[in-house]
Amino acid sequence: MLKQVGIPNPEKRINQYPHEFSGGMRQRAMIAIALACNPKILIADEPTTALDVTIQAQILDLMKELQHETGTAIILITHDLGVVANTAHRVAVMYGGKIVETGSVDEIFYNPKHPYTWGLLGSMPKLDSHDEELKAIPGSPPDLADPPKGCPFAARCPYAMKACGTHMPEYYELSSTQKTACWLLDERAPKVEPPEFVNVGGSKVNG
Amino acid sequence: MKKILSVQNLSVSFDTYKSEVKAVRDVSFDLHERETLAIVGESGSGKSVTAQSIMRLIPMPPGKFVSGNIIFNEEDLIQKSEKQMESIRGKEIGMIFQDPMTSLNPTMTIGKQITEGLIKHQNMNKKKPIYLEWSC
Repeated sequence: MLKQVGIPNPEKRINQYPHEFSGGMRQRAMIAIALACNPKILIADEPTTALDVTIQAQILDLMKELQHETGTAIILITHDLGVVANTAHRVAVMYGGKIVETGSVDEIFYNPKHPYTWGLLGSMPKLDSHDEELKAIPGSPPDLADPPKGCPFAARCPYAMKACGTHMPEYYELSSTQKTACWLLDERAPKVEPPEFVNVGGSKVNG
Repeated sequence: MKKILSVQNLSVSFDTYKSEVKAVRDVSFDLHERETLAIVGESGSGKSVTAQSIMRLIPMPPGKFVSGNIIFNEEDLIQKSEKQMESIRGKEIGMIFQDPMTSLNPTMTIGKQITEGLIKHQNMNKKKPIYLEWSC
């Protein structure tokens, strides 16, 4: 099992304690534990957040490889869109306790419809951009002790209309896989194009 | 592709002194075989609570399921007892956490921790789990 997750010298390592392992090796050991019983589903909650970038890529490759071998389904929780582009088949974007947009990886990266998804994509660093500053989404998330009646993103959304503050939008089905909860998709709403900095369909940057 | 997990209208709240924090509100999604579903969002958007709900790892109280179903193998995980969940965790659904240092037991060898689940779920021989060669 240890050999399978790429830990050298497994015969010796197996009798060691966690403090004798490096961060990346510990995460490999965690994966070994999680996969030991051949689960049907693997839930990975920010599996690479505590690791540095070079190790991140290795761990993600390892997860992909093991998925290929064992056929487990994976739920990958992350805030890193680079990780998503590299590993996921489908994406659910959450905001304020709700899923605001869901779709295949291509739909989310090349045809996002929700302003929050635009914000997320826009806040990703790009290699070919000469902007000095990164675009951030202004404001802070809603207080979920007293969640807004309407769309949770309305307070921070540059395109918010009156309806957004009072009514939660329904899911608009854009394809068999893509669903977006945003009033902008209503036929009564003004047509809004994603801002240029979102770089829709642009380079998938490895984060 | 076969659907293996279906989360339907899940809402999870936490009771605090001040009020009820509605961490997850009416979330639905499906997971198919051999598929990777990414859940993205910023801190506090409810990603982790959703995941921990599937594993039933939310401490209750203060947490509580307000509504919804989590269907796995045609059964609702929300209705399962703690004992029934123990046979699902690790065996049917595995989990990797963010920080490996705080998730591993510092007083147990790595080998023991890997074989712990196997011994529990598959009645492997306790005396010689170390010699097992997993050649898959």
